[in-house]
Amino acid sequence: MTCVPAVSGFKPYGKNLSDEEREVVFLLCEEYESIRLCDYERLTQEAAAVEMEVSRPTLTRIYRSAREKVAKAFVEGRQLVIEGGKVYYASGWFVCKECGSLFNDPSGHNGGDGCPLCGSRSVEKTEDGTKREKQNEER
Amino acid sequence: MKVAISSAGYSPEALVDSRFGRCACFVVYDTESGQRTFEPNPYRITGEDAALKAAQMLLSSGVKRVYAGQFGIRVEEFFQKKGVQMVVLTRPFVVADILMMFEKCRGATEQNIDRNTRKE
Repeated sequence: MTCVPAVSGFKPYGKNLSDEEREVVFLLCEEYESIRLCDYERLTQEAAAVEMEVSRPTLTRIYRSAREKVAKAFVEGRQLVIEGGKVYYASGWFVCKECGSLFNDPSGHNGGDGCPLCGSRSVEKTEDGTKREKQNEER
Repeated sequence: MKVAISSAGYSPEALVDSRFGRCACFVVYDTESGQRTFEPNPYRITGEDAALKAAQMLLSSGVKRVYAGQFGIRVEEFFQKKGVQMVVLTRPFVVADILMMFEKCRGATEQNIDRNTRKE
């Protein structure tokens, strides 16, 4: 995942929840991510699967489960909590055109702070967002 | 900000070690004060998880950025999670070269911000 969900959940309003309705729906982080990629970023499921590093059928499963949960929360007026799941947040990798070093950018500025080694501003994202491929090419 | 360079020896003339977890020592450099210290890497001959243990050690001493020739897949994930910046050097560097680049950057910002802080 490249970005953290903006909120950790959603609460319904306009009705007093009875105790039994107070049960929340847990949306896993990967399910959130699948909705973000498929519906918000409008990727195809194929592309979203590549982004999340899972197979296309797995992505479809995650996505279907995500939609079912969102629908359940909507229709039954449940609270939605985004949490858990098997994720790790990856900031992409960048390469400096001056000195050739590779680096990631946890600050979220997308390499805008320049190369952490030589300070050059001419940096770009590595082609696939990881450090490996590029490294191998250079060797 | 504290940064760490994995070094192959206890001198500025040493090469940057290509392997993060098994390097001889870390040069910990404070980009604000310009202070540098050589920290031995107690895990370089450990059987396993050397990189993870070393990473934990650096993290607890407040290091926010690390330089090495390469990072293993597990330590990469660890640093990503903890928000530590990794810099992979694709060419062989001497520790002194990197320190010099830091000094240059520091000098540049100091001239702009604070002329009173003395450069080393």
